[in-house]
Amino acid sequence: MKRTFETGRQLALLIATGTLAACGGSAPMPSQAPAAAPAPLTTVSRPGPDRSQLPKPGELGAWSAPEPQIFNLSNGLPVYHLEEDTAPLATLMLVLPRGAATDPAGKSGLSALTVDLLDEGAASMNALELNDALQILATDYHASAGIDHVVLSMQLLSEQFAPSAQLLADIARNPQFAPQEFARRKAQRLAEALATEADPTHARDVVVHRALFGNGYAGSQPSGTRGSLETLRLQDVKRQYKALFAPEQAALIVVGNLDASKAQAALESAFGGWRGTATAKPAALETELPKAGIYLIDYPGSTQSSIAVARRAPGEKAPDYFPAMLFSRALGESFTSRLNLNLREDKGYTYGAGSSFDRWHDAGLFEIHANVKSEVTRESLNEIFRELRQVAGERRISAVEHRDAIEGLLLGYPGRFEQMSGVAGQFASLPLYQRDRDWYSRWPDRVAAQSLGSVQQVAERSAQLGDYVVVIAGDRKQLVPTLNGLGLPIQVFDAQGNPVKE
Amino acid sequence: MGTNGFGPVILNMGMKHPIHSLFAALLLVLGTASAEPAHTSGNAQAEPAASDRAALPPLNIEKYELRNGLTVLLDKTDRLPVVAVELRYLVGSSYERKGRSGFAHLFEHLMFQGSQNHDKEYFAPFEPIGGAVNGTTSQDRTNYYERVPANYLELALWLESDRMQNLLPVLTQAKLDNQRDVVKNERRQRYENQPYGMAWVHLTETLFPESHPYHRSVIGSHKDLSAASLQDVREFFQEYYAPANAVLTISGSFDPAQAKRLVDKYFGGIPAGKRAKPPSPEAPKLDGIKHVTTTDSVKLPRVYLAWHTPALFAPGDAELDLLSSLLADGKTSRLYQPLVYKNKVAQSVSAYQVSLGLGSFYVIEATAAPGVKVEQLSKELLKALETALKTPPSADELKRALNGYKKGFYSRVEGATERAQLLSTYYHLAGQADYLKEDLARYLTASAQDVYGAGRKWLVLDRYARIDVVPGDKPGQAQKASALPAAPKATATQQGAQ
Repeated sequence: MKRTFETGRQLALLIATGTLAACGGSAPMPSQAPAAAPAPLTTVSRPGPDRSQLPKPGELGAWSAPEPQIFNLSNGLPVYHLEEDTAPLATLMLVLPRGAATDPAGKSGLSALTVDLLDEGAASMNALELNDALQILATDYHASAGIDHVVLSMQLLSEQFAPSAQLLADIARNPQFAPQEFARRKAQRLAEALATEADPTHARDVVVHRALFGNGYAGSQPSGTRGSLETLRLQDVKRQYKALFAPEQAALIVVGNLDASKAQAALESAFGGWRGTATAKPAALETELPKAGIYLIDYPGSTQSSIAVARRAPGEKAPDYFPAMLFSRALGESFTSRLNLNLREDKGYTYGAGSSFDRWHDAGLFEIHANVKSEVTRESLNEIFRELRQVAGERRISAVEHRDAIEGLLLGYPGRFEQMSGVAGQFASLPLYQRDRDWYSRWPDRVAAQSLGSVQQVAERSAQLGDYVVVIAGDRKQLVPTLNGLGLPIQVFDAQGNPVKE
Repeated sequence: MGTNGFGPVILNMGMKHPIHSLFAALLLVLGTASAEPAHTSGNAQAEPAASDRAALPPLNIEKYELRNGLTVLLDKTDRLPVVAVELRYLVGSSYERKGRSGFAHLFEHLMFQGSQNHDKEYFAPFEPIGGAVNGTTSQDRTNYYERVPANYLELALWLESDRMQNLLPVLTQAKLDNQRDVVKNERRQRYENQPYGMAWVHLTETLFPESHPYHRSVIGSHKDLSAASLQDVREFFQEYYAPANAVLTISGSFDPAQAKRLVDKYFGGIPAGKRAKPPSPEAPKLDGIKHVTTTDSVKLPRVYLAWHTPALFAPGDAELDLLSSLLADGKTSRLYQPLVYKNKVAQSVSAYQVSLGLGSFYVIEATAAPGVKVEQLSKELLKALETALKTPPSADELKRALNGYKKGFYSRVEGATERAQLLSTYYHLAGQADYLKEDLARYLTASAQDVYGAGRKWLVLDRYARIDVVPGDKPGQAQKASALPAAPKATATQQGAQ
């Protein structure tokens, strides 16, 4: 994929071609019927096939997810490598298991801005020269900072692996941090922050994190807000770079048409001499628990309300990680899940309703979300709460739902390994969460081992309605009268996640 | 990353993950937009370098037709134990009748509401087997697809064929009303409530005359969606949903002999119907600058410029793709560098060819940096564009532009779902499913002069449509049209949430 600033273009193309999907996914391929005149065709009439029941499956051979090989560079930096020869391409990633959660208080967006600046001039190349050096190799570079990761990734032609790896090392190890580039990228970040305030769904997510985690771990958006970005100075960036960028606990991922010895030689030359210690520490989790209530962001004239009903959840190492996955699939993480069948297919309130767990190192969240027609905001909330109550009451997760969730995950599993870049992205989670090399090949067994009882236990915990905050981005004037009857305090927030003083 | 243990790709807009799959799918748009044995103009090299061609995997595609006219493409690849089925109907929003905008897409939704022998959610049998299922509608066609474990091919064919043959007997008013609401919510979510989302509706309405089928958006208007009746559904199904108007592609791991047997078993007995005649509107033309200003609840103004350009297939289409890279890919590109990097009047700029069957259009969009007014932005944009179009790309620029496309060709044949869609598009557009190498050749053989010439020919600076989106009320509530001197009286059609 192309550079970050092309993301808008990708989306724009989707809309431009007007390709619309029945349920949101899409593969726009505008096309034209063949110009040839239709030939006269015989009308066939014969008895149809037996349609009294759906056909049974045939035999399926065993399949196991690929496992990367791991080797270390001379400085100890591990390389996760998988050779795949389907195309003359490779993906190269540098993964650091620390990110925006280490932004100092009031300075959210610092890690993201720091990462932005890495390719704005590095080693002896200025920003424009580095841009051209990448393009001439046909190497796409992309960088991101999440709550507790930084990933620098390259999609490249495998024949250009060595020079690309060298550029990645320049970017990661020798960024210039020129003052004029800092000023430019900071202004761009600020403009992006301003622009996204117009998007109700984005504002909803900002406020979900603020409501659940306050000013502590995971409370702020990695991309920052206008208020926090304003405070950033070049000195902050340089300090954050030093604190984040070191080989300690970092890893390289290589997936593609390239054998281990070639990868090792190129990476040793580029990264073998990298030394240093990371000092960045994540913010502590806010000990004060979230206050139940309605967190409202006002979008006057909005035709929809963007709703999230969210609570805290344990982080990546949660003991109920797998049963929770099955629970969410049954409740909201599939098209025929309870929430989507109710709010979309039965009521027609929304284009899609769902649920998800997000998990990071030190915490996570569980969320139910939907964008619903403004007039039925209250009704939608009623249905969401009804589903939560029922899943631990009169409509507990059934044996069939439990089985379907497991089978669906297992049988759909190979499909996640179709694209090489996707495989590399999955492998990035191994060093990030200190998972074993065989995590992906053992994953199906772990999913299959979860009992119905364990899934129902997750449901019971999820049905404790007092744990939830309700976040709504929508037309306040229209909404408030309908929400008063819920008996929850209503607090208004702005799109940056700050309470609005009345 | 790191959420949900990498939950399956559930294709639902209301959920979080699908966005990524959506980006992945979009990779396909860039290069396949068109396909005519390359270039008519200029002094292109005769053949792409041998190494470039050799690197593409060979496609072993078998194509045949059933007696009822159903076109079948078989594409066996055994990398993973999955198989993808795509059924493409040669009808899209450009076939809709007056007063029924959005109908082709609404109909697509109805195809998921059950058929006579499976009168329940179409998704239901697929989710317990981890199937990835969806359908999409564009101006020119509608497609339905499912990626399933290799041993479930028969299930997919059973279900696709049942809805091709037996949709109507169980299609009720209640289903229509429900999906009408869902689609209206889709419109709200993706257009009305999305910053700049309504600009696309305004753009095609401004660029294309009312008589042209691309004038109306694929999503349609609330009024027209409300007007859609069961009778419309019946007529549309009978007219367009038949074997002779469809292409069935199977990609991935399967046994060809068994696949043929199953295709014949489930589709062979369906009455043929007929191949629909594509609309044949007069080629749209602009006589000057058509300028429309709209408001939206956005923070930064944005300008869209749009031109009519050659259709998918036609000479110039690939050249315009390359021009896009030259204009807006990377910091040293000809629009990005002056507008965003240097003068900082724009927060972002992009340029792209929207390739369509009846004729494409080319769009340049720029979002203002904070504090920059829309007039200043558009002035600077036009100035930069004029300069950009003055000189052919350097060898280096052309190479960089080409690089952006070359790599995409390799990755687009990795997955079975993408392959199936790509091949049926190639079959339509190029008349041959095995068109990957020829498609790539269109780009590899375009010369600097070709790319330059396409820009000069199509992106003329005295005839284009221009949409300004400025901060203000939600769209549809306030809108005005104005005509610049060179333009005829421009009219902006009122459309929006009602």
